[in-house]
Amino acid sequence: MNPARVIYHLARADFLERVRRYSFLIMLGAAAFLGYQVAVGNVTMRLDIYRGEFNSAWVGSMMALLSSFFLGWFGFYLVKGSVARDRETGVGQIMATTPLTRLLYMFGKFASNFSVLLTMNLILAIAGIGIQFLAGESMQLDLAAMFAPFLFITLPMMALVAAVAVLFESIGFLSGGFGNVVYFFMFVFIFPLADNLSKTNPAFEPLGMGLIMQSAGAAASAAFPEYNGGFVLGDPAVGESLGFDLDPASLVFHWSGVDWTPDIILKRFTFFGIAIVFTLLASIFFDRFDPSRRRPRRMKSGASLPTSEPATTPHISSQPVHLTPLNAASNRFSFFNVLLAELKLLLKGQRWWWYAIVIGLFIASMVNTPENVRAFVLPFAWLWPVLIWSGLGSREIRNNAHQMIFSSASPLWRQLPATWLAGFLVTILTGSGVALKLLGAGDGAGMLAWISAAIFIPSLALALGVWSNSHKLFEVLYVALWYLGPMNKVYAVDYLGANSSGNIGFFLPLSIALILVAFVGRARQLQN
Amino acid sequence: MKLAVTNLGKQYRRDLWGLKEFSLEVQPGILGLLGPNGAGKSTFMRMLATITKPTDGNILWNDVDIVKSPDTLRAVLGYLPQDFGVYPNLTAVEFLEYMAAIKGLDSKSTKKRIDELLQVVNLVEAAKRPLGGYSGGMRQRVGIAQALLNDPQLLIVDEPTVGLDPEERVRFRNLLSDLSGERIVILSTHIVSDVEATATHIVLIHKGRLLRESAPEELLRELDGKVWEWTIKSDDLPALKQRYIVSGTIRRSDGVEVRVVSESKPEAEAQNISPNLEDAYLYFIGGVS
Repeated sequence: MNPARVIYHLARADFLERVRRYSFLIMLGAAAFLGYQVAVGNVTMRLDIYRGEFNSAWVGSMMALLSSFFLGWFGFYLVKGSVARDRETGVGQIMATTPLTRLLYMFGKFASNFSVLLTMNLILAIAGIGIQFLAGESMQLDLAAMFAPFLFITLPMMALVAAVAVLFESIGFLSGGFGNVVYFFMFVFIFPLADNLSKTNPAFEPLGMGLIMQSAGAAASAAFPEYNGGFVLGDPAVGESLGFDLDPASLVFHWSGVDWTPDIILKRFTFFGIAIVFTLLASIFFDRFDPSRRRPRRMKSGASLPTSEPATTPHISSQPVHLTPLNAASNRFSFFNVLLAELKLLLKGQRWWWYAIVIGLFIASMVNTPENVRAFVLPFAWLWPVLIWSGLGSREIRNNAHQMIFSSASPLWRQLPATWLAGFLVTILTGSGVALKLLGAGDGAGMLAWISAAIFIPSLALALGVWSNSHKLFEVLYVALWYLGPMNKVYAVDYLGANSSGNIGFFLPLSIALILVAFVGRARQLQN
Repeated sequence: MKLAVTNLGKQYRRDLWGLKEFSLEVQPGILGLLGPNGAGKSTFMRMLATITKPTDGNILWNDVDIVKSPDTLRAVLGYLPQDFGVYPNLTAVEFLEYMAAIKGLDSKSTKKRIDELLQVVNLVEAAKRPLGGYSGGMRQRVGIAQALLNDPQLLIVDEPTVGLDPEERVRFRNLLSDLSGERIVILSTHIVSDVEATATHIVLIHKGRLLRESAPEELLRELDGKVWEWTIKSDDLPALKQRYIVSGTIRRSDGVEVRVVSESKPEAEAQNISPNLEDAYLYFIGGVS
């Protein structure tokens, strides 16, 4: 067995499978949109009020940093899932019967993840060339200066992301929705680390901002001695339409790019080494599709492993088989029964400690001041059920039970409203302590924001679930929204009203729109 | 109770039809759909089950167009898809309760019905275990149970015996026969013996088109005098397969006993024997491919 050939074919098949999926097209579209946003000046790179001339080095570095940031974040969610797919499709079990080792399998998956991210990067790099000519500040294309930041900044970061995705997939409790949330926080915590490393050892800062800041900052200081070290990536506030309304020439400096010394390159390529270590670790944790090494996800502790035991009694075929006919009165639809069943489905499989934390957050609501409850307890109370909400709308198709459910009577008007309502009830239940506190304190504005958020969250989950057929999109977007709004006081998206009045004038109509979008999506699925 | 299909067609791509110009009228009883892989059986069943909309044609359930009013049929439909999943954290009872609520069964009937169904599909002992721990055959039986929850007037079962052991297969066939009296059962499979044992009517589908529609007896009658059996040397078998439809072989001490479908007597020593459905299937399908 030639290992390189095995890895190549594993990665190739996986790559082809992925690039033929809609999710890949959506990400390609997102990458193209990002390029467009840069081109029209809505996303840009600045050093305070100054910026570099749009030459190959500046545009290449800007695109590489944007790629490093956005693909470092969302790329993880795009590439994670290939092992799960092998598990679900049964291909994994077939592979497990071959001489393929865990190490080769994991390196194949790593290579495939990396290739997907590489393709995205390529699009942004090519977009960079267009942006340079569109800006028209420098018509001299320097391919080395344009692509070097991609090669030395973005690709090592992509290798890291590809390997972390493989590692998460090999560790049972990180392979699902919980891992998606964990990665978000990991990524967020890179920033303080990046800030420190930027000053001490910028080449080791994974996103690569430190290197650009240091090199471009030196050029800015030389041109503008009053420059005080600020750095902005993606600030739309000062975005003029590029090519039409350029910054005053007096604020533009010339920069010929980072001096890529062997030392910097070596340090950047260390991330490839880390990626290899992560992949090696993944191969240790990977269960090689052996169901006995893996407890089914979110299944309660007493659950048994898949069994081949047919659970039959001997000579069963000789027993008479007869079913009592149902009378017409038996077919009496009860919305309450469907709601109860949906609620059971949502909460089934949760462990005792999940409820313990809900109770803990309820008690925390009771013993804290209303201000603290809104600012701290509520955000955590309504982050905790994220993995429950994320199942709304997509669970039927993800579990391949949709053919049975969609062929039942009035699935659009019976099951879908019950699904939303069950999600709403879970939201109310987990936020009930906060509601009681706000009512007790007579905090009308807080209560209105609470109601608006309780409607918004399941609506967002349902709409994203129905349209994406996946739990991932909600997990990624909701946690990002939660981080920006309630936690970082971006008031426009503070849907909880943790530090504001909750912007209900925006979120309530949005919730209604999302519910409509969910219904349209489900109707579309039913009319396939 | 009547199901009528007229000029039904499903186009997947510009040049690819899953089903085309398919017309059929179905009365109570068991209709067996037979055809090779990719013939269009599952496409047909998905359209009947209101999962997929046809590109052309009508499906009438008691004279109501179910493409326009799918809920008319859904209220009385039981459907077992060929490939389906279950919610792994729910037990069989919980999953069936969930499906019963969605199908609109009242609480009292639900409990009684589920108890009975679990006995019928022989899952009483495993009823309280999460479905994630079930074997393939056990899941298949849960699928069968959910299809029967609402005592459907139209029961559509796509490859229902896949994964079942021989005893369970026989049990399921008996169940189908028991159920078929006052309802329409549509059974799709390429296990010919399942159809042979249960079907009151047979439809042969090939390359998306209706090839043959008749009672099993009629189908067999057409093959009277066309099935032959004799013993040949092992070495002669490959050449024989090139010339005739060989529907069976059995190793004997003096060679290989072959079963051949042929319009005329293939060899002097060949004996004419009674045809079975497998002979008929190979004869009709083989005759057009």
